[in-house]
Formats: sequence, C-alpha cells, structure tokens
Amino acid sequence: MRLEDLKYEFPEMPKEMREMIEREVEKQVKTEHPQFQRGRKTVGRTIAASIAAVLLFGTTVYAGVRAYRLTQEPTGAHGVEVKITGEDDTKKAPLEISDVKMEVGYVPEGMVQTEEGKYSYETDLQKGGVSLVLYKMDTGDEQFEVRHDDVSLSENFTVNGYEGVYLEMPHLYEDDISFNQRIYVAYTDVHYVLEMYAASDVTKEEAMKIAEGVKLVPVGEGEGAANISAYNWSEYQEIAEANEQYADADLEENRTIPEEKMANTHAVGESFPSGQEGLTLKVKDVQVADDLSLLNPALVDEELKNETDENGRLLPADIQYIKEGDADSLSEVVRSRQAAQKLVYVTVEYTNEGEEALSDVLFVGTLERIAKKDGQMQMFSEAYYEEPQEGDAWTNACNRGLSSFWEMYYYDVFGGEEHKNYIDSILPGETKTVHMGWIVTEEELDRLYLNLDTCGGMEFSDSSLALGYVDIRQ
Amino acid sequence: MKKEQLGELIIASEDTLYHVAKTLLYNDADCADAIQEAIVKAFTNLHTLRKDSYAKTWLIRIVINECYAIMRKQKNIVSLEEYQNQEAVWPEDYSDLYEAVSQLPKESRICVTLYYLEGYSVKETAKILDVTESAVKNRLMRARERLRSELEQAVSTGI
Repeated sequence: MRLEDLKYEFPEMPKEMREMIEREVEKQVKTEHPQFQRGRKTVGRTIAASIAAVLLFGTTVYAGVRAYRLTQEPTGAHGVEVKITGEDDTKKAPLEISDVKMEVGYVPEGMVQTEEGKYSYETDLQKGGVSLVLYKMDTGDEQFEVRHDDVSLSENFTVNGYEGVYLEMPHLYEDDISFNQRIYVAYTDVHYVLEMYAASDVTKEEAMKIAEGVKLVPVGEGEGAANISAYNWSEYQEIAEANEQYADADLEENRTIPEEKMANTHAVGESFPSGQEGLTLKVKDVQVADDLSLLNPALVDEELKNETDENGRLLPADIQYIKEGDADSLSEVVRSRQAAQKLVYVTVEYTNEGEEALSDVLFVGTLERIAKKDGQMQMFSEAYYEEPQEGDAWTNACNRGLSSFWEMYYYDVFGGEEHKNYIDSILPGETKTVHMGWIVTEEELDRLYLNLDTCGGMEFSDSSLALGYVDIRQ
Repeated sequence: MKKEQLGELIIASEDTLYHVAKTLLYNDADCADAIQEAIVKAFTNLHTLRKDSYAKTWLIRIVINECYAIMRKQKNIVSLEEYQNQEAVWPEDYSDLYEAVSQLPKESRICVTLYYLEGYSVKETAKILDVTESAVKNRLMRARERLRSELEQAVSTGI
C-alpha cells in the first residue's frame, strides 16, 4: 500500500451529503448577505458596546471575585514574561465563563479579512497583516503565561479599561515581511485573553487601534463577517506541546550515515527500479546554466523571473549570517555575502516496463546536498545554509535566494485532478519524460544528489536509501 | 468573484471539502455540519476574497476552521483508540490505509490528505495550513514512518 493510493482507499462521500451541499449552495446563491464595513472607524460605538458587553458578563460572575492584573516581567535584557496574576487579598471564586465571540470593529484602510481572525493588506494578501486569537481561560486566568525572547520594545497600555502589553521584536529584512509584534489584552473580568500577531507591514499605531476596536459579544448575537471563536487555553497548551515533537532538531540524527549505506547511488544514464511495480526511472542528462533559457517561458513564474537581471542572467543569492536573539540580546545580521546562482535542469525518464498501464504516477524531485565528512555521508539542512563553527559570532546562515528551495521549482508535465506533478498514464513499454529545474548556488554544485523518492527528502530516510540517490554532482 | 461562481467552485470542490472534513472528523454527521457551516461562511465572507485564484485554498481553510470549531465544542471527546475499544460502530469497509491514516495526529493527517490525496505541493500545503514548509515536511515524514510500521504490522497479523 502506498500513500499515493489514498485516493482509491478514502471513504466515498455519502450521496446525501452531496445533495446537502448542492441544496445549501443553491440556497446561499439566492440569499442576500450583509456586507462588513471596511475601514470605518467604530471606536466610539465599540467602546460603549465593549463596556456594555462586559457589564452584562459581570453580572454572571460571583461576588468576591479575585482581581487580576496583566503584567510583564523581564527575564533578561531582552526577555519578557507576560502573565496574569491574582491579587492575594481577595477570595478565590468559582470560575463561570460565558461563551463569547470576538468582533473586530476596526481594520486599517486597505486591509481585508482573509479568513477568521486574519486580516491582510490587499497589496500583500496572505502575507503580513494581523492575526487575532481569543483564549478562554478555562483553567483559570492565572494559567496565562507566555515568554518571549529577542524583545526590542515592551510597553504596558490600557485599552477600553483593560490592561494590555505590547511587544516588538527586530525586523531584519526590510524587503520582506515578518510577524514581529505581539499585543496581549486581558479581559480578566470575563476571563478571556486576546493575542494579536502583527506583521512588520502594520504600524504599531494601527495595531493598537485594531486592539482598541475589539469587542466581546455573547455567542449567538452579532453573527457576521468579523466574529472570531475562542480557543480554550488548556487546549492551546496541549497543541503547543504536541507541536514541539516536530522540532527540526530531532532530524539531526538521520542526517549522517556511514558511506556504505549510500552504495545504491545511481549514475546519470542509469535505469533503476522506482519501487512501483513496472516503473523504472532514469536521469537522462543534467545541464547547468546561468540563465533560464532552457525553461519553457510559459512556465516561468514571476518569482523566478525576479531572480534574473535585465539580461536574463541569474542574480546572486544573498547569504546572511544572523546571530539569533535570546533573553539577553537582539537578533542581528553580523555579516553577509553573495553566492552566484545557477539553474540545474534535469531530464528524467519514467518507463513502464510492466504489462499493465500505469495511471496517476506521482513524480517528485528533491536536490539534496550531501558531502563526505570524517568518513561519513552528511546531508545538509535546507533550513540552514551553513553550520556555524566554534568561534563564529553567528547562529544561522540564511540563503535569501530561490536556491533556498530544494524541491523541484520547475517541471513541465502536469496531470491528475489538480493538474500538478502527476503523469496521467504510462502505457506498457512507454516512456514519459519530465524536465525538472532548480536554482542552486554555484558553490553547492559539487554536493548535489537528486532524490526521486516521492516521499520527499530532508534526511536519509529508509525509502530514499532503498530507491537510491542519483549522483549529479558537477 | 460572484456568488454563482463561488457556488460552482463549491460544487466542483465537494470531494475535496469532504476529504478535508473526513480527515479531521470521524463521523459523517460532523462532516456535514462542518461543510454546511463553511458554505454559509464562504458566501457571507465572499466580499473579503480579493484574489479569485486563491478561492479554493480559502475555501479549504474555512472548512478546516469549522472542523476545529466542532472539535472544540464536542464535550465528550474520546480518542480513536477508546472509541474502537468500546466496540463502537466502526465501518468495517474502511480500508487499512484509511484507518492507519486516521490514527495519526490531526496535524499529520491533514498534511497527508492535502499532499497525497489532493495533490498539493509542500509549499501549497504550508500556505493552506499556515505553517512553515519545514513543519509540513516534518509531519509528512513522521506520518510516513508511523504508517509504514503500522501497515507492515497490519499485513503481518492479517488485519
């Protein structure tokens, strides 16, 4: 069984559900939907509504409730811990939390909602903007605690009578967008906390105005475009812990193997089995170029075109050496250099040597960087262009060019339902040819191995070693 | 995009929406709720969609959010293992592969569905899920490793 077979093994949608979808679509097409007013300042009305909502909830909380404070405490010169603490001289009361939704009463002109809780500028959709999350403190307000390092600015503020904290981190690349601002607002009388991630394309002032325009309304009222549901804080913590198991650091152990484990490496021109019955692979040839002339112009996207100069030659990649910030220091670029980039263009043949036709053949090409070191084969990480050596003042080397992407950036065969990297069919005895392209830095040409394992790369996996890499070093 | 075009897109994508919902929610009743709610939200928020080419990705993200909302609301959540151990109804005609995928953590399940079933690239999957490409690759790799051992075990014990 292969994961590619999931399309044949997945349960079929019940006929009743299909009919439900079609009915609902028909109904919604005929329904008039109210429009959310963009760019209109509703601060005045929002403040009144917020207070009214809070007063409403205030009546459901038992008397003698603890007073809570949202505080920030330094953990170092540039580290901050934001947390909620209770006043010791008041009684603890049972926690009764009404369900609310968050309404966003103000967004800057030009900013639109892209999905629940997320807003971006129309000029940079899906990049930047703000992302708002509302937490229900289901296990108690004092469970709220977050820590941030690399903080360049931290401020307390009050909005609509609630305490808030603003944090700012360094934004290293002026030509890019990063989420370098955080805002926390604690609605402790109703036991909710707002967390806002704001990107570098949003000014601090606008981010604060958005926070100011937030109001909490009871669930069931005010259904409209800007309602955001709340997450239980306890569930968020579980998810955060679960995500930690996917840390990149765990992969280090699978990036170094004894040289003999790569004995199944293939040469250019060599046919070898793909692991799928009847299908063989062959890298027919490899070409390296300074420009994109080998590619079909119709398939070259803007991002790739932007990587070339006015003469069509590939621009060099900027390699930046960054010292990561921590609780006591800020991130900074300590030095940078340029590395020449090349196009690597590979012709791969997929041949059906079986007796049955093959359909929906998935193809994937990953250019791994592998080099021999101390008698072992070491695979380099896509995320880290270079490894720091003892004494280096930097922690990360970041390749800012397109050569930082190791999956095939270009291919010229399209198939499958999504018109993507599938070969629709290969008849018995037939060969289909796929041209794949990557941008690499010139200094990596002597460590390139092509991995045609459809499971992808990033480490020496059993499946990739069994298939065998193709040595395309130049 | 006009309402009629959104309607056509939803109809054309109904299998994808079901795949996504079924990946995150076990029973079809919950899937129907999530998809229906997602359709309403899509039409309500259509004016916020500025790039038609992004519409399907946007639709999938709405469905994913609705699925997570249902999961949050469910009061008596049991793990799949508990559900199966209670000898609750588990359709016997579901394949070993689907059952094995269903055992994965939900973050990995949805990556597997988007990458292998729906054919999105790592980059596109990362955009849909709003995570890094590195996170997608990690989740796919761990899913593959876990599934390989589970499927081998299933075959060897004749399950």
